[in-house]
Amino acid sequence: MSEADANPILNPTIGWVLLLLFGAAWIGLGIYWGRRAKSFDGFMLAGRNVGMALGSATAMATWVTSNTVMLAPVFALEKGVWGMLAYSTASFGLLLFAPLSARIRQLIPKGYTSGDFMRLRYGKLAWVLFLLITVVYSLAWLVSMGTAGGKLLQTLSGIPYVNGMSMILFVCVVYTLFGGLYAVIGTDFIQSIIILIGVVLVGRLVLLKTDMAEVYQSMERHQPSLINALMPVALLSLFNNMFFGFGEVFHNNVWWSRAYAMRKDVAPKAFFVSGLLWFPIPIAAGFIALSASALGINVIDPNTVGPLVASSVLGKSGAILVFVVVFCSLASSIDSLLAATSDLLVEDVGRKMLGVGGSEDQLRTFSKLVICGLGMLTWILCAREMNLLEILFLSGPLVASAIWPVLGGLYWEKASSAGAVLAMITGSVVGLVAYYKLGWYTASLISAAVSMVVMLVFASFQRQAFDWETISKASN
Amino acid sequence: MHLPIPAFIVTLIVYGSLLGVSLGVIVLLRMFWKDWKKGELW
Repeated sequence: MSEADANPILNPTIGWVLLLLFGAAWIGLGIYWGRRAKSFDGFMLAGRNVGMALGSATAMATWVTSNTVMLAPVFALEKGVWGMLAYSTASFGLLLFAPLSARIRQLIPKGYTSGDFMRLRYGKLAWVLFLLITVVYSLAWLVSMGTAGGKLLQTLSGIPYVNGMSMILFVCVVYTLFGGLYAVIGTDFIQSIIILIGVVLVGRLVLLKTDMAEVYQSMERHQPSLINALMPVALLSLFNNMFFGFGEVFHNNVWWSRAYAMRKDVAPKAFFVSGLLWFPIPIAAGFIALSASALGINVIDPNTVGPLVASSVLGKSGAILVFVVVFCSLASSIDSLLAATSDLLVEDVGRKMLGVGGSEDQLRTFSKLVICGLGMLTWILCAREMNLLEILFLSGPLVASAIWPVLGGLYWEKASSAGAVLAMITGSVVGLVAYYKLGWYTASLISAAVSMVVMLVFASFQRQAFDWETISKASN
Repeated sequence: MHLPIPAFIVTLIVYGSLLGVSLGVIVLLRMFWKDWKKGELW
């Protein structure tokens, strides 16, 4: 138990009050907006008519996870200025998904999931492999957020880890269950506004207690590597994180379901705006860790450096602010993942693979059961209290191996099924070996590089060009 | 090899990010207002 855990900043009662207050608000709003979901299409894709404001906010808020708020300061603490920028490069995934979303809507106007595309473009084997990668990644993402949430509540308010983590998961499962994507997108807008205001407030208040000149001098004296422009590990992590971000966004159904949920003309613009809005957030959230040394704060557990600095400098009000921001970040991502992953399991595994059919009501019930099951599985894995960075980056090489199969599949008629399958297998395996043998900061880079080479080699042997019409015909 | 990033660049990055996030709030609220007036939220 760290010092912060032993002496929490907030009284557990305040923690519980905040948790119950916001939990009740999200559930209430989820039920209210969920009334719009009259059909299965409405429940899964919010009626396919989401506008610019809600579209941009939901893409941005989903990408602002508890990992952004908790790990951006860890990156800054361990890798300095480049570390903060490294985390921000994850926004490039959203920016580049903008043209992809237009292409997705052009190829499969009435699609449901990212799995739909892989099945129609590459066939069954690539589809199954892709589903395996994306489900493993989505679970890793969910678990990393549940774990972060539990740890944060314990650090800030002394609420026992399991109780806090269980409460967060319970709230998200309940409102996603009632409102589907309508509830997710509606709450995402409010959560994104709270997150942005909270991040600016914490940053500004920290800068009122110390200034950047003081922070810089302290780093220069005690940790010069943090301001080293030539820190090799930090530079590698910058590119690694960028490719990890590409892989995460390009393959995951969280983004594909939003591309289908937004109006056709809105999707590319909304993803581009969300990328621009997201870029400064990890820097604004992360830089406070750089001031730890200047402020004389002894960081025992790097995973909680953000909340520790905020609460040490700002006292109870800072702790409350961080508490609210992280709770919103957690909710905005957990709800999206629950909804998008359950869509994938219902549509791809249930309907297309196992042939589970039936009326709209039956499908909706099936979808709700899957959401509950996912919530339970996440809870069980979170209860093991795994390491944040380990969980997040272990899935990096897996998703990075899917970058080229997805890109090639969308734009390149010579991209082949065999190439996509082997690209994902070899990219994942070599990336995982690199993760353990070289370090996490190389895994996604190596996985993406290997996957690209395999795709190119197989494409060079491909004589027949893919007929794009087969996708739209099959999907109709 | 050590090549320190100049202090003014670090300051620029930090203050720039805070300004960027603040602008984000304004942009989102403005877009919401426009969509809401036209009945195009969803």
